[in-house]
Amino acid sequence: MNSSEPLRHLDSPHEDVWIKSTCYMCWNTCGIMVNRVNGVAVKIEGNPECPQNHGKTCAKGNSGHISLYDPHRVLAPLRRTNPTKGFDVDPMWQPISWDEALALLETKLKKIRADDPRKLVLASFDTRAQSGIFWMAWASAFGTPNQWGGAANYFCGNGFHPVTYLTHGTWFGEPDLRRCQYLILFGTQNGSVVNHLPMDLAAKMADAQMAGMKLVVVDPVGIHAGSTAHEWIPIRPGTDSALALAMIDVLLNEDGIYDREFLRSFTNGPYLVRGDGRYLRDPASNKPLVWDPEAGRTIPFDHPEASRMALEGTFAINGETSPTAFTLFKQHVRKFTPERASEATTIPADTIRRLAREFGAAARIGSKVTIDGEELPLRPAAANWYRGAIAHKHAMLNGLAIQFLNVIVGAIDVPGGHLGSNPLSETPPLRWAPIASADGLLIPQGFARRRKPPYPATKVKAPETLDLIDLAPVAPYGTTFFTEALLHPEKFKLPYSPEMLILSRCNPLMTCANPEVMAEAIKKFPFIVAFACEMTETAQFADLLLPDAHYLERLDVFPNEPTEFMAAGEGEWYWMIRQPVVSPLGQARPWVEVLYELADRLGFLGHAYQLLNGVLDLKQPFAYSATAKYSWEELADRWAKSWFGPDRGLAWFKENGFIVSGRKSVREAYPRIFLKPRIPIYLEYFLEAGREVERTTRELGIDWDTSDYQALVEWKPCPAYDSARPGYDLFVVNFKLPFHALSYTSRNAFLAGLSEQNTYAYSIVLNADTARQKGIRNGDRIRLESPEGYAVEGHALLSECVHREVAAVAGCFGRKSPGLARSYRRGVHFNTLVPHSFERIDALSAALDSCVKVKVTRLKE
Amino acid sequence: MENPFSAESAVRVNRDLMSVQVLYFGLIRNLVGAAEEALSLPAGATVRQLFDLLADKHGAPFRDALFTAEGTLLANAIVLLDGKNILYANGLDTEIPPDSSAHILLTMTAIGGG
Repeated sequence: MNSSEPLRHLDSPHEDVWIKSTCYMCWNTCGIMVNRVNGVAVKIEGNPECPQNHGKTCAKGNSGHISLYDPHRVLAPLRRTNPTKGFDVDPMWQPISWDEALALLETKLKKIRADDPRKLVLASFDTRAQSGIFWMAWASAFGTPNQWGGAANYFCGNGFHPVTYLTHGTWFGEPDLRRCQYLILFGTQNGSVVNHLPMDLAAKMADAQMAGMKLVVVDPVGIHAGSTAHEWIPIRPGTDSALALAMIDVLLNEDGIYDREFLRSFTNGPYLVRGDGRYLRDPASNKPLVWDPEAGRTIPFDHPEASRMALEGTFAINGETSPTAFTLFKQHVRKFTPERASEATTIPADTIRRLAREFGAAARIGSKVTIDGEELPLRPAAANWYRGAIAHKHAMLNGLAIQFLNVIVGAIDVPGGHLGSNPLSETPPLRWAPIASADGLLIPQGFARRRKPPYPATKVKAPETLDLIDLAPVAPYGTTFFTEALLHPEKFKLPYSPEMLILSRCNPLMTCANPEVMAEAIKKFPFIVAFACEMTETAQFADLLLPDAHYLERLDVFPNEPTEFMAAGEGEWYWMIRQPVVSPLGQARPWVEVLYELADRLGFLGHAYQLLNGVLDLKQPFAYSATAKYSWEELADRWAKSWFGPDRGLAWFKENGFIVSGRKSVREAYPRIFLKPRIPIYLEYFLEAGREVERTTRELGIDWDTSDYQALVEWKPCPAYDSARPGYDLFVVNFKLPFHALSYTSRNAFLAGLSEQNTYAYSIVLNADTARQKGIRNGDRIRLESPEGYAVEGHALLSECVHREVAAVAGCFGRKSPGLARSYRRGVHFNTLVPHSFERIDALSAALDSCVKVKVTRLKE
Repeated sequence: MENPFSAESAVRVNRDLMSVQVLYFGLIRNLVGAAEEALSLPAGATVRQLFDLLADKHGAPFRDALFTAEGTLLANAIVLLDGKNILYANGLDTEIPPDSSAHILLTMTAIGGG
């Protein structure tokens, strides 16, 4: 239906249909059913047949159509006439036609491409499915390597994804809630309709707890996940890995509880290490050596007799003593005693010991379970983590320390433990399995290769891209460096300056760091093109604003990438579709379709198609022809048929919503014991990577911290800990609500209404005792101010569910764009308090430290 | 020691040479400065040897753009041999049939976080 047509026959509907699609109100991909009546989407429910969410949706998913019909949507192309940009500056928009907009873009892009295509930057969090894959191919064919996340990826998964890559060989991971008996969550609310696979994990979490699983939540805030846990452990922000390392110390050095066989067979723990920290290598093959205790000699790690290699010990070899990597690891964690960790975390040492012993006992090392005739290790204990534990200066080391709790008890990719999101597939249409590097360590394959694994390290060289990824050889992405490169180009000596930013589905001015700093960075682009559904803060800085299609208006095949959005462990392989429920309102157009029209005008459409044939592994007769021009639907149809056969084209997917391509085998669900590649507990390759970064940055005259390139994990305090300014005695933290995600949902009228009813959403939560000591009462208006002078104001909510040294702020509220009627200036904007500086970025993972100390002041009403 | 697969050697060797058409797509074109080129390789050469030859010709930046520090293909580098991804054959050790067409693709990697 054309949206401009008047609604007809509302009292006697001639159309009342349910359309199967995929939600996009957060980055997850729940299967939905949308009720369309007379061309109007009136209701959204979960698709009961879809394995992704079992018929359930959250409040965000239920309210997607409210965003669709938001009266403040951007529905026509607009051109800025006021060259001055700022939060309170009127852009003085003037309507222009799509034809004019495309002609303008064609001219500018043609010039950039001829001059230096790297001067074009694309920014989007729309990185999955047809749209995500296609815009990246577009950019690659155009010739620019510059993409900017410009979203929550300044600090969300930076210390998670590289760790799951190293240890599982895939992008994401989750606890095996079907069999887990003891789960510790560090700074994540898995299972509380927040974070990863929210509906699937919420259902599994409820079932697991009903079946007796003990849930321990370690978090400064205990409002949602903490309130449903058996035990909430309030922790000082930024110290999660101190707790994890102390628990490891107890298990290894006090109680001797660790899975020796797992560590021997599946990690680099047995590798011998020289005095300089490098592996002892076989002179002939250069392979790492291990110690054969029966023969009393060294052998390469993959020698036929290596199964009896020593896990522990120090051996005299050629006049030098060489310990195993595990021996070094075990000795190293001795310094993280529960007493020392208690000082850092504020958790009593006795509690730390108890948690370690409960975790170790629950892992039931040595136990087995038989599934479908296969006998497997059973390790029903897991630790999981996310943003709370890793939005810090030492993000990657923090994430590794927590994951090593799972590794030492053998709870990796086995029943009951921590599972990677499908690192192995033997089921059509796609097959993949991690491979071993020359040193025998995991290298991800298949879908996981859509992103940059942290191992093997990439070559360090003078930076070519604005994300400075050439100086971050073990980071999965360098989004945060982007801001620094924009603000301080002289420092990094890039061979060009950016000319144009094309941006869609991200809002860097609100989701990354202090908005004023981010605004200064974005103003470095001479020309900004924003595709937007809503008048976001970043869209307000655009020179050309183009109306983007809402997710209920667009087609995207296969949004649920198996290495992220398909449940780990036992279950099914399934592939979903997101399809238009209604035609785009006004003049809105799906942004990637617009890019492909521009590719045609600029003469590189065929080039993009040929890239896509390789990326998607499309086969004849369905591969894209370089000389053809396809509609978006034809592109989707060919892709679907190439993967699933000629009778499973787009029409089939539109009718069915998703396909189940098979049930996972035991090997696919629990691959660890079937895989040869090993997990590094000793990060020897960091040493060489760090040396290369040091050498290159020294040559370039760039001051770059390489101190985290160390082989053994460590807890290090965040920069905020160095602040001793009087009065700045609280840490401020951000926490997620089950009915909001990113900044996108805050303007939704239903969800804004929920926020107004919710006690926590728009408040600043203070520990009740701490607040009373400061003379602050419930409901008082207060101000939080950081040492940098950044400040927010809001009403105090006193609670027992927050650490005594913490002020907690929810979601991404306090919106600054007047075009966002329901959310404008409602609630508190956490990121306003987050400084952006090079010193606060994790050199390993590019995470921005969000650990901020604040002074709290009571204001007069 | 002389690299038997260097451009010079390949030209000198008279026996059993085969031709390979190499086509570049995506970001690698920035570096090579061409969309395609024809090369001669000894019969039975592998993809790894093709890359040795190309690295000799285009220099270290070519290798750095496609390979990790350890010498494995980067996640965003895709090599198709007569339309088939070498990952589904023998990887870099895949033997190149005579008169093949090799497509070398270099794309952006997806980012995430959430």
